[in-house]
Formats: sequence, structure tokens, C-alpha cells
Amino acid sequence: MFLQQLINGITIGSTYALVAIGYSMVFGVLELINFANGSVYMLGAYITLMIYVNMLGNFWLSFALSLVLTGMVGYCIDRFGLRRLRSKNVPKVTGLITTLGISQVIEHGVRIFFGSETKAFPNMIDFGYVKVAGATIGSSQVIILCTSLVLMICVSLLVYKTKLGKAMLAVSQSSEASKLMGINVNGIISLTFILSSSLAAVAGTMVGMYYQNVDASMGFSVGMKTLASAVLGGVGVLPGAMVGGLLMGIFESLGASYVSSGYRDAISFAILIAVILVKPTGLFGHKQINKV
Amino acid sequence: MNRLFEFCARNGWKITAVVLAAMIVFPFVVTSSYVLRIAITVLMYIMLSLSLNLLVGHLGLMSMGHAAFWGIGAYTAAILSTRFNVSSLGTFLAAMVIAGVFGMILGLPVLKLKGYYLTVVTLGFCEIIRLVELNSMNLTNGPLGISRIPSLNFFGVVFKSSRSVYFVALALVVLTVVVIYRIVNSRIGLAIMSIRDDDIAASSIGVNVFVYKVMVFIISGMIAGLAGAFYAHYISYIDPSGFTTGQSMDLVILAIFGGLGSIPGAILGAAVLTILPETMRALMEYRSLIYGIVIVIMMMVKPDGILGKVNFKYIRQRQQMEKASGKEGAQA
Amino acid sequence: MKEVLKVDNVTQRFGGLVALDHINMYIEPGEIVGIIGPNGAGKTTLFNVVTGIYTPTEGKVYLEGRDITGMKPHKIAEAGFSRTFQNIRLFNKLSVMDNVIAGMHTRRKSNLVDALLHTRRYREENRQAEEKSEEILKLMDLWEDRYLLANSLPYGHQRRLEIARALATEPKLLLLDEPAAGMNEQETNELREMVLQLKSMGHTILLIEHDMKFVMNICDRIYVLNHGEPISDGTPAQVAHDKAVIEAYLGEEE
Repeated sequence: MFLQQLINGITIGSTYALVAIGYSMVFGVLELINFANGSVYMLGAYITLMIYVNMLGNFWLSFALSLVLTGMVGYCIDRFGLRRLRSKNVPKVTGLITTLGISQVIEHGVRIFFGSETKAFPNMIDFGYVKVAGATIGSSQVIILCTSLVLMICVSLLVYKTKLGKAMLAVSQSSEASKLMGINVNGIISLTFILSSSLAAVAGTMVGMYYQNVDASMGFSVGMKTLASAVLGGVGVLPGAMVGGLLMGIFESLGASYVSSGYRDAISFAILIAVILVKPTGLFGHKQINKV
Repeated sequence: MNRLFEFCARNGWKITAVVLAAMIVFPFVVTSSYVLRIAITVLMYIMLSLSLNLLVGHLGLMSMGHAAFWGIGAYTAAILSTRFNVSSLGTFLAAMVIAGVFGMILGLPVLKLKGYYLTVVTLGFCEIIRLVELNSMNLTNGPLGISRIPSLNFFGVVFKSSRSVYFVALALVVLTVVVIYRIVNSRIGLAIMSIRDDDIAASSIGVNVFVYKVMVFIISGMIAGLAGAFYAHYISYIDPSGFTTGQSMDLVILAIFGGLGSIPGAILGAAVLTILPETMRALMEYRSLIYGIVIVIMMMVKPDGILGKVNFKYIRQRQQMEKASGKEGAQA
Repeated sequence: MKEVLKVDNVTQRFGGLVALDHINMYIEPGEIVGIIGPNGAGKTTLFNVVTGIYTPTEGKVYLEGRDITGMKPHKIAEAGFSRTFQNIRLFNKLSVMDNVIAGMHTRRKSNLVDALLHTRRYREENRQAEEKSEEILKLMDLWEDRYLLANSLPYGHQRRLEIARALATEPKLLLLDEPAAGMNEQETNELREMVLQLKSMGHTILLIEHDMKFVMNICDRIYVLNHGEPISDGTPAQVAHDKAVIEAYLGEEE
């Protein structure tokens, strides 16, 4: 039983990690929490479904298209919503509220255009299951976990081993200095948004397959949980987001079966609050130095 | 636009009196039940917006958990009146006290948190409260909610008609405005705003930052709780889905739209954003979509909200100063 | 006559870094005392220790004989130390006058109930606050600007406003952290006049400054720090001729 819950938790946690990475990366380069990330997660799943059902009939092509389109949505959020705020001298909360508004637009736009009822989602990765030590491991779980791990490794390689990644790290330390070094800061930020949105779309589609349904409100609740995961791990710290996501999935799964399923979501938040109160910068975060 | 603000600043009291008079006369002139109900809803959202504005605008802490206090107040009133037959005065007071206590419960741990960490914890708080409401079958009836909440009842007089309920709401709003106005324009208000502008400098002039932060959490929670109690008696049915983090975010949008740190701004924001979706005969769906679009545009055009940068007190003071120096010039 | 401030063997360590190393200092009422030293010498750290932002790793701080070591900043402000900051920290969304009235926070007693009910104490204190702020603002030559937003003032005025706000706390000791920073010659002279006037009114002042002319002309005594260590103290004349001081600023003479 414990093993089963653990496996379930790691599976879902790995998808949380993908979205949490998005929060962390955007926070890293912009010092901003992108509240629209959750709704983009939902959008990715919806676009895959809609293209598959209504247009193409080929799931994987639809998936690929959805990644591209969602990435573009992410780009637009930054380019048209946030970039102009950077050039003005606005209070810090403005960007946050903008992303909040965008998340509402996306979520309720989807409701209006696609309907607010839960929609069935095909599970294209269901190839059976194995039984290991009393627990059942489905093929979807294995594939989801592997995909997420591969993506996490790729992102880590990108950020820590490539020139592009170094540019991202530079921008997250100081956009002013980066500009002076000739780094195209706006370009890096756009890239970060595209990347985080695509990751969210992958996560959303995989979760859609796993539960075999999607609905417009899935973005909001997962958005909250993955934000909490990123903060748990330390906002802006990439490995922190991954660990945070996995832990959040595990806590949720174990908590739901051992404590109470009704309080499933509360457990994640309760743990997050406990961690923040003890170590305010999260598990791996850096202490912010305040010069007096 | 500046002329308008200057006019308002100069004639502040007169305008307030006129508006108040209009609001008192309103339900006698307009008898449509539908319009009255919208007005009552607006009044309630004004209370919520003002109380949140104290926390987010005057103190500067971005809390996205305000709906929780609204819900706590509503549930307190609902439980006390349906199970223990407590009259409205009692439920109102109890709602304020309990919501205030929860304000302290949220305020104390977050004292040292900054920025986004604070926001995320308030989100978590709101969600946890909602889940408690959803899961405590014994206390709150869980997802079924509490129904058949008795109407407003003060000293044996039942307030059932829309018009009478409207006046109760109006009285509550007037009380809220006076309380918040007096707090903001006092030594306490200056202390609170100094914490917002620079908490280290505030400490250096003797402001006990922790005490004031908790105080604001408690006061803003109490007012939201009061609004919740009113809501419970008015709507007569409540369930946890009315007090979500989504609602909290809507309230933040209300407060920011009108202008953080501005009392007329909070009132304006609540009024405009509550009436606007109604004028389009909208469904629930459209309302949030509209809020989203409106706030994105607002952030691009006027990030401080409509009245965010307008301080009527300072405008009036400058006007009086110019008038005085003008007089001196004339006499010279 | 009790010393307004006594710093007794204060050492401040941050992990392995020793920011202050056995600092001893005292200030008599009515003095203007300066702290000078190269950048990074620990001057602002010392201010932070004295005003309660840091608790010293070792040593004690006394205010008129009372041990205030480790007290919270707002309590120390209440007790009588008030300061300005190296990087200006004004209440930007408040007016000039409100910044000063805010400064009176610890000297006013009206509470929440008074504010809500507009009791006599509330009204009386408000009137007094306005009178007092007028005095202070006229003294710092900010009266004309009183209803402007703090962050709309030119730089030099902002520095004066910070001092005005600190004065509003009715301090026993006024700590000024580089009050002349960024000022031109004329502004610096005006500031010097104001500080001397404050002294003639009976204020006791401790200031950090880099502007040597300013410091030498105004201070009764000076302490010199380098790398957190005290390297000299005395009258301006004594310090100016102290070899150790010259070395610290100019490097060793070959």
C-alpha cells in the first residue's frame, strides 16, 4: 500500500516538478511569480485534445502542435503583457497582477470556448502494467516518470552546461550586468517563458492521459500546488523546484491515503507553510541579504 | 483629470454628503428588486475591498487569503443562527471576533516573511480553511453547505425586504468607511504606512512593526468576517465554494483596480467591478474573464489603479496652502 | 553627567568576518562626535549595533548608563537613539510633513480607541504634532515643501527630511550616517550650519562622514576606524596629525 502510494506520488510529483521548474525559471530571470503558469498547463492539455479530436486524428502530432502553440502563448504573455512593464518604472506587484489577470483570461476563456464540463482524454501510453512487491505499476506511470526525468535532465543540462543556460543564469543574477555583457536579456526572458510554457504543456497533457480527463479548473489547483512546490524547494533554484515537485506529489499521495483524502490538497499547503516558517527561503533557497 | 481630482479634494465633505444622501434615498426611488440586490452586493464587496485594502494597500502585504475571513464570518453566523438561534447582533459580533482570531492566526506566523513567501502562505491559509469547511461535516455540513439561514434579525425585528436589508448593508459600509478612515488618518495609520514604505526606517522611529502587522491582519479579518456574517443572513445559504482562493484573487483585483492605499479607490474598484459584469447580464464565466482582461489592461495603462496615486488629503492641503499664500500675497 | 552613549568593547562577528573589533567609544551630552575611516571600516555596522539592528557578538552598549545591548530597534528609538541611513530611507508615499509626524510615533500616546473615537487626547495630540512638525520643518528649511511627496524632493532636501524625521523622535542622540553624501559645496555648507544649530539647541550628534572638511570643521572629537578596528581618536587636530590615520587613508609611507 505504501509502495503503491509512493509510486503514484512520484509519478504525479514528476509532472509537478516540470511545472515547478517553469515557476522557478521565470522567477529566476524576472523575480516574478508567473501566476499564469497553471492555466498554461491546462491550456496545453486542452489544445492537444482539441486538435486531436477536431482536426488531426493523430495524437502525437496534436501533442507536438500543442507544445508549439503553448510555447507561443508563453511568449506572448511576456512579449505583450510583461515586457512593456519592464521598461516603465512600475511597482513590483504590477507584473504579478498582470499574470493573475492573464490566468483568469486563459482559464475562463477556455471555459467559454470549450465548455466547462470535464472532457475525456485518451490515454495513449497505456500498455498494461506490472506488479512489483505488491504494487501495480502502469505503463503510463513509467512513461510519465521517464519523460519527466528526461526533460528535467535536459533542462538542467541546458541551464548548467550550455552557453545559453549560462546567459540565463547571468540574467537571473543581474539583468543590468548581463545587458552590459551583450546578452540579449529580453530574448533570454522570452526563451524562459517559451520553455516554461512548453514544459507545462507536456505536464498537462501527460496528466490528462493519466487521469483520462481534463477540465478547465485543473490549471488553477495544480498551479497553486506547483507554485507551492517551487517555493518549497526555494524559488529560483532549479534543483529545488524538481525536488519540491516530487516531494509535493509524494506528500499528497501519502497524505490522501493515510490522513484523509478530503484534505489531500491541504496537506501539501500545510507542509509548505511549515517549511516556509522554519526556513523561509525554502529547502534550497538562498538567503536574501538586506543592506541597511 | 487633475482638475477633477482637485475639485473632489476641495469639496470632499460635500461630495460625501451628497453621495450618502443619494444612497439613502436610492431604495425609495428605485424599487426594482433586482437593482436593489445588485446594490446590496456592491455594498458587501465595498466592505471586503476596504478591509483588504488596509492590508494590501496601506500596510503593503500582498495577501491572497481574504476570502477565508469572509467565509469564516459567514460560517460563524450561519452555525450560530441555525443551531443556536442567535440573533443577528450576536452573530455579527461573534463573526468579527472569530474572524479576528483567525486574522491573528494568519498574521503571527507570517510576520517575518517577505514578498512572495507571504503571498503563498496566505494562499495556503485560504485553501486550508476552505478544505476545513468542506470536510467538517459535523460543523459545517461539508459540501452540502448550510441552508435556511434566518434573515437578519435585530432585537426581534426581522429584516426581510430588499430595502431593509439594503439599509443594514449601508449602515455596515458607513461604519466600515468611518473606522478605516479614522485608522488611516491617525498615528496608527502613519505607523502602518511607514511600515509599508520602509519597515527598517519604521523601526528606527520606534514603530513596533510586528504589533502593527498583526493588528492590521486582525482588523481587516474582522471587517471581512462582518461582511461574511451579513452575507450569510442575506443569501440564507452558504457553502465552501463561495470562499475560494479564486475569490481571494478577485478581491485583490478589486482592491488594486481602484487603487491601493486609497479609500475612495477601494470603494470605486468594488463598485465598478461588481456593477460592470451585471450590466452585461453576465454568467459567472464572463465575470472572471472580464476581471482578467480589465486588470491586465489596467496594469498596462495605470499600474497604480484608478486612484492609486491620488491622495486627496495632500491635494487639499496643497490647495489650502496656496490659498493662504495667495491671501498673503494679496494683502502684501 | 552621564554619557549619552557608551560603547564598551563591542565586537561584531558575521561568521568568520570580524566587522568590529573591540570598539570603545563614549559621547558626552552636547557633543558632536564624528566617525571616519576608509570604506568598509565598519562605521555603518557600528551604527547598526548601537541602534539595535545587530546584537553585538561581544561587548555592551549603554544609553545614559542603561544597558541597551540587544534591544530591538524600535525600543532603542523609544529610549532615545534616532538615526538617518546611508541610503536614504524615507517614507516615499507620504508627504514631507507626514514623514516628520510619523517620526513622532513614540512620543505620541493616542491608541486605536482614541483614533476611532476622536477623543480629546487624539485631537490634542494632533494639534501638538502639527505645531511641532512646523518647528522642525522650518528649522530644516523644508516648510515650503511640506505637502509634497517625499520622493519628489531633490536629493539634498531628502537628506534633510531624514534628519527632520529623526529629530521628531526627540532623540537623546542623533546618529547621522553620511548626511553630506552626494551634496555639492553649497548644500554641504547649509547642512553644516544646520548641524551647528542643532548643537546650539542642545542636541548630541554622532555622525559618519567621508567629507573630511565637513568632519574636521564641525566635530568636537573624532574616532577613526579601519577594518573594524579603532586606530585613533581625539580632537580633529590630533587625529589629522596621527600617523596611523594618515597611513590608513593613504597607505604606508615608503
